[in-house]
Amino acid sequence: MATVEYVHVDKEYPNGSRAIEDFNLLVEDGEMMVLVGPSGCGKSTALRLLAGLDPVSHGELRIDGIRVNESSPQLRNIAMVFQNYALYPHMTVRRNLEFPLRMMKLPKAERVRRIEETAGMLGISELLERRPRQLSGGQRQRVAMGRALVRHPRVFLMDEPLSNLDMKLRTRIRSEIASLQKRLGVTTIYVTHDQVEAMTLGDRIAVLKEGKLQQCGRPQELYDQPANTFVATFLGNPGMNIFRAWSDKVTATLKLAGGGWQIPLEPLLRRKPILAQYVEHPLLAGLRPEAFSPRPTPVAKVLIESVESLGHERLVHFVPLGETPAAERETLVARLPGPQVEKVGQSIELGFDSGQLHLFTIDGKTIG
Amino acid sequence: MPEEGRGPAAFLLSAPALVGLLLFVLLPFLLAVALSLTNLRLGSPLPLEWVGLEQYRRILNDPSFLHALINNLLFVLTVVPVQTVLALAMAMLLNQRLGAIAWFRVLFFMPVVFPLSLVAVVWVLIFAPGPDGPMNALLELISFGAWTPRDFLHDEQLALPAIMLTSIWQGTGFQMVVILAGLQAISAELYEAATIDGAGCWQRFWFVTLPQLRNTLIFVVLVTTILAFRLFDQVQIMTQGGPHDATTTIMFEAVQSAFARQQIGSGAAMTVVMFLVVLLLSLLQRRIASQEREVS
Ligand SMILES: Nc1ncnc2c1ncn2[C@@H]1O[C@H](COP(=O)(O)OP(=O)(O)OP(=O)(O)O)[C@@H](O)[C@H]1O
Ligand SMILES: [Mg+2]
Repeated sequence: MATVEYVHVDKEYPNGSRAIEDFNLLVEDGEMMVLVGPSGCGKSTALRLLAGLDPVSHGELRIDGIRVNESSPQLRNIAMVFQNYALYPHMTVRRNLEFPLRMMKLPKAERVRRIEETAGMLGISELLERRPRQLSGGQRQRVAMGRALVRHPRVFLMDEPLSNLDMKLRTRIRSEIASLQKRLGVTTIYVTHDQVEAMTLGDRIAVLKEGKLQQCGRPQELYDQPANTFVATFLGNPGMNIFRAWSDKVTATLKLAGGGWQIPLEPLLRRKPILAQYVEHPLLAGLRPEAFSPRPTPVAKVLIESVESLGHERLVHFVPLGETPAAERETLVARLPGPQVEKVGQSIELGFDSGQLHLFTIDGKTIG
Repeated sequence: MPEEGRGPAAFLLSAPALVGLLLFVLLPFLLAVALSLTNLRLGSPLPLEWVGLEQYRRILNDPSFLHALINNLLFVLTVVPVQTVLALAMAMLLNQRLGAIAWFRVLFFMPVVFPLSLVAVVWVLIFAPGPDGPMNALLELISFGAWTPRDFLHDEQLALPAIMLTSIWQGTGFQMVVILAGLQAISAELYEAATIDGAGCWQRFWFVTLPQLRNTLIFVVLVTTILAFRLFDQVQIMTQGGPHDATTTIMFEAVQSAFARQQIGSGAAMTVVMFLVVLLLSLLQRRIASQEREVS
């Protein structure tokens, strides 16, 4: 197995578009690294560079500490599952699985053994004589995984492998991929734009935006301590609420959402001394939807704008009623347990757990 | 056939094509079959007689017609493979995403849009006898003077190859365009998958390009074969079938017989023979093609 390193990697396409900028990432041996980010942020590009399908513009790619920029894709021994699977349509499933083994010039007996082993592992033994077009989407997906796994690659790349499947199948195969990856211990880079997939699958997650790495860490770490507002809003469903805040020296309070909530500065300063630099500066505050509840202090009057009921819980969209003029009020969302009791247009009292308050500079970097 | 392929609506919709097919293909063919069983001669005082298979017996004993058959076969066996391989190579070259490619496409396709007769005339000039003929001059140049000038079109050994060369020059462009379209329909992802699976460029050609191009190639080979059997224009203009039947073809013999000698009956018999040969070859090709489905 292997470690993978991106060292100051840049990728500029011939048409001048910069897909990746100064990308640094170390994927540990046997780790499942999930690259996540919105469409067009350079996730696929990162995989294609590692696979050798596109050349790196600047920087270095290393596998097991050895520079591979110049080695051809055939020599890197990296397997990849494509979003549309890219199975060979004119070959049976057996031939598809056999193809990489034949390219490795393995003897016939070994090829047969590996195909049987892989097909058994993925539960596609009955499909071996079929052609790709005679398979369902989920079956194709498995065959694509099989073709990648059968050669025992050093690194396993997956580019949105579940995006063509329906919700249920996606959930099932997701957990299968997770357990398979743990069992085989293959270093894996998994690309997705779906934050749920990222949170559930990744040993670590790397969040990208416009070709730049935003943050990399364990899922819980990213969720609890996002490095910036982008990561904060990207992870979680719905993402973190971000709204304006202002700390007032005279009253020693932090005014949130136009003064709807006011909390004493003292405990915050004790928790994050660096906050002292930002007193009397505009700030951004962040609260996860689940941080809200009707009980704890500080409580503020909020106006209900809409409610989405999911049966066991509800998403309440509201605006805090502060001193700000109506036009500048920000809509926030709270996740409250239980069935819907509020009415739209009603105003209720809502508070939050101030231990869960995040603070960011005005340009979005986390404070503390 | 799926169920929706039947019913009155389907029949109605295909009626225009069917009527055309009947009127312009089947009817003339049946007429040719009928005529081939008579002794019809234009301007002959003899009464029209039903002669059965007499015309067929006669043409199959006619040395010129047998020559024509052999020439046609030689022509097909040479031109079809050479032209297909050339067209494939050119199409692969043009399929690279290089800068000036659009111009090359036009250049390679140009011979196709020239009228065959014009092409033939140009090549008659190229094959001009004597050391000043361009082809002779070229061969002399590349053989460092070892080549002695020949009169290609009046040389029993060289006349047919000369016509083959003309036809290949003229026909490759069309094949290339069709193959190019086939190449462009192959998804780039397949090549990427194959590359990652460890295939080199020759293996990608063998395991991805060729199988993906299979239907296109079958079509192209079939069409070229049929066109090759219909070889006429170049022969008519360049050699008139000579010297000593060295370049005569079935079509040329049929036209000669029907219009120069006014023997409509035997001309019709020849076209029927050609039709049967082409039909046989097409069936053979289809059978081979369907057996090769599992390209490994
Ligand atoms: N071959 C190319 N030539 C030029 N620009 C490209 C090329 N491929 C990608 N790009 C650009 O690079 C950027 C990153 O593309 P990439 O495909 O890596 O995004 P992605 O994160 O995989 O997006 P998605 O989630 O939609 O698949 C995009 O802005 C895209 O327009
Ligand atoms: Mg992508």
